[in-house]
Amino acid sequence: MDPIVSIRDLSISYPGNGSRSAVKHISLDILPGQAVGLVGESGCGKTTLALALMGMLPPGCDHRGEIIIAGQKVDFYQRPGQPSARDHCAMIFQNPQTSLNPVISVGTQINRVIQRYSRLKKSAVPDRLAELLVLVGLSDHCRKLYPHELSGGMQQRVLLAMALAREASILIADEPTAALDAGTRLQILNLLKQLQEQQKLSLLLISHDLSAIARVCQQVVIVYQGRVVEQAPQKLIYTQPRHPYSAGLLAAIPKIHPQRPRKLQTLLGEANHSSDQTGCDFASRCSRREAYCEQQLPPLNATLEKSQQFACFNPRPLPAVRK
Amino acid sequence: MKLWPSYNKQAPRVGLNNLDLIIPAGKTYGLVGESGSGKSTLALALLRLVKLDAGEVWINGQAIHTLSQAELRAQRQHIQLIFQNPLAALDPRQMIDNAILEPLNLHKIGTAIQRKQQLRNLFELVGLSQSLANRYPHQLSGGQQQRVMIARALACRPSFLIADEPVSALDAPIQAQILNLLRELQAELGFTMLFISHDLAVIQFIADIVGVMYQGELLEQAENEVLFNNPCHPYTESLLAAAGAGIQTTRLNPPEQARGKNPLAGSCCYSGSCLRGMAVCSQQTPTLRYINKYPPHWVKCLHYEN
Repeated sequence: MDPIVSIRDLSISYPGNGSRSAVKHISLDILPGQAVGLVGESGCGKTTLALALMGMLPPGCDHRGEIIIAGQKVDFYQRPGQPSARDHCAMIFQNPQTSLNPVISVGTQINRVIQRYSRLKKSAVPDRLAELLVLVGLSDHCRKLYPHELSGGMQQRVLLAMALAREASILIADEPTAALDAGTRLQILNLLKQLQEQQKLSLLLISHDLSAIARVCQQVVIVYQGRVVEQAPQKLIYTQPRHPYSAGLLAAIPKIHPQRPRKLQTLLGEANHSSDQTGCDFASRCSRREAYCEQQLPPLNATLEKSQQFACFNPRPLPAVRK
Repeated sequence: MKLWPSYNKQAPRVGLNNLDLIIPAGKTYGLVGESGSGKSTLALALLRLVKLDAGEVWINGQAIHTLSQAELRAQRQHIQLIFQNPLAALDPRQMIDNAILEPLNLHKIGTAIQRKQQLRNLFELVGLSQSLANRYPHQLSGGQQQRVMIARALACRPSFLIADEPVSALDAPIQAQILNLLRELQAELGFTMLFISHDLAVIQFIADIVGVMYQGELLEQAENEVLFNNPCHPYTESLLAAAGAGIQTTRLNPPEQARGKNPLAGSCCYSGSCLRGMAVCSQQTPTLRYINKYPPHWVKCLHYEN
């Protein structure tokens, strides 16, 4: 199957940041109907990548490489109103409140998207609106409400309805649950998964929360300081992470232990954003570091089956096969 | 120390309802519950940042509920808060060193030289580099901001620290670092802590005593090991089952179920969503009572009332 989104060797740096890039040589494919999760700590370039996909990079960025969506090359500085690769994409953001117009009822806001992007007759628009509200799990009276009358979870549902109204084949969700509390977070994640399966959407879910990604995505990409460090199917990442950073991220997720632990496992230090490193970005925090790690940049290697790729000279060993 | 706020708003679903809890000095009380269960309201009630409708709050032998505003302000140096979102709690135009020194200045503690010394100690205590002293909050990472908040809360050497979801806004590795730091600091400084979280795994690590809240009521309360090894209330059981299922599960704990029907007055508050509900649960209100004295284990459920 040909990928619907194909990112080739993409590098982006913001103006005034010298040689430091937000995204470094990222290559990534999304197959039709596939849910891909992009994980990393804050500041690792996740959002920059999403903005690049939508052609919404701020002016003055330096970029190399290319993005092809459904056979069409993305223009990084898209002007509104022109047909482009962006027509295949819909995006939802972290904070639903700032994405909605506060002085127009949410029903009207969804209607506008339907009228603009679907080829429905005008008389069919109310029916489509009702259908969309059912899909995202909102009751019909919500259409008359204004954004401030809805809870955060309901606002995010409205944005999902708008994204579906766009009839795009790719949905980009940038930390869609970061502004929500725990219970609502689960509901929205379940809804995302359900919609992705039902509507056969391709999904790029961006999050710092590995457990959120585990619920929704089939393929997981782990990014550290703008570089892909590991990329594998969901199952492999959680059972046999090869890169020490992936393993550290996993180990740091709080879990209930049979006995109260004395100390939580975690990664040392914080990501440092210096640009003068020649070797592996993660070397200074790595427990498996060797002398050569600081001199050379590890390439993204594939295992024999090619399903799991990781950029590390000294990867964690595979677990012993149980017979 | 005895804390006994009871706070009832017009709508009986919000606020706290006949809540009793006691935090022994030097221990950490972990309060867990879903959002809207009244955890944060309790924290505010302890500091009298919301009005109590009835009940008493005793902290350090002081009847907080009877104090005048001036007395309350004097007491507040002994009771400090850490919030969920450090960036919202810090003044964006105030440098880090001033932010940490502010409580000392407000309460007029120490001379200028002593304050400076104290500042250096605090930086070291929470693991911040001295070079950050002249930065602004937005120039720090989330983990560093939360360390600043902890330093500021500890500046007055409080005997009681309230931490309201202090790690839920942080990345997982930083979250673990902050939790380790809080436990080390408590062992070193010996303060009492009320730790509020929705995350059972976090609570298991940090708390000595755990209380489970639901709709403003305390449903179960026991020592850490007792509660996690032998949960008795159906709500605690379902919370633990959902959390223990781990990250591999694709769908778990439908919160719709937890937010079930609004129970009638005079019934158990959890009867609308309870999997072990009996007919009597909708007719009678359970009371929080001991099911075991040593180690103490409290449960509010009609299953344990006979």
